[in-house]
Amino acid sequence: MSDYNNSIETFFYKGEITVELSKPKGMITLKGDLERSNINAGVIKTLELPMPKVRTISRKDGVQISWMAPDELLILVDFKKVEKYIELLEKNLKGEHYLLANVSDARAIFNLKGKGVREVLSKGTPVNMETIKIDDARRSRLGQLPVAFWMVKNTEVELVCFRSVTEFIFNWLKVASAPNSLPRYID
Amino acid sequence: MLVILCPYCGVEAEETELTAGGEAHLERFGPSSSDSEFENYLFMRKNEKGITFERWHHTYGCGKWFHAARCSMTMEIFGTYPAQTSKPPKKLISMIKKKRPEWGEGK
Repeated sequence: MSDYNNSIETFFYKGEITVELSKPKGMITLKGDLERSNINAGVIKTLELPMPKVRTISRKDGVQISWMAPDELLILVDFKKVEKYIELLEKNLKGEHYLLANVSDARAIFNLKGKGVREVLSKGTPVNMETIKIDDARRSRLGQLPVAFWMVKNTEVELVCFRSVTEFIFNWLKVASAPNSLPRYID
Repeated sequence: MLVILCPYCGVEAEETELTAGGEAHLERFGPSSSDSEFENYLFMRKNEKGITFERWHHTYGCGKWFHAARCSMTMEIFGTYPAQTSKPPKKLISMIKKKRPEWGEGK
């Protein structure tokens, strides 16, 4: 995997909300029949977390499972421990039909903080942000690009996009959160 | 603007989150079929005025294909159901018949 320590660019902006590119996180995509008890149990055993309900996340101590589709999970762990977790998952899912991929280098995570996060995202996504509660996750789009995001706190959102479009998404968020640009409709 | 419920992730998805996939429940005619059957399968679509069954793809969401029953005239969505079927569910059909007694199941 890439060594981000020296090469990483800083993406930081403070307008109506704070937009910041998160430090590299370990990301694993798991595809498989999540209804199968062996797969379900294997994931729970490895990550020591409950299986997230539809369109939610479950998280504890820096480990997170995000629901992406009926047959797909995005698992977030410490960047340095990805390989270890993949090994563990492979061991606990042995004999099952599944796919594991290390996508840490393929995705970027933005951290959005501030009272107006819902309104900033509302400018580009068709999701009704008023209905999104803490620990809710949605896979949707921002402008014309696919993104996924989840509510960490009432004023904090983590947004995942493809790493190749990091700069575009950052600039988009920058414009969308320019000072005095929010309608102040939600809250 | 259509708002369609994705039966897989339960999202009331708005039209721009979805991709239309054309007529649903097509029967495939492969290599052993006659030319006219194959042509029919490839090109001929019903394009009905009234109740249609169509395929939709939740592109900017869970990425699953599903089916929807829609009225092409009033844009009313009667219901959606997973794509692992070759016929619309009976429940949905009886619901549509109740709402539109004049409908003859597309015949």
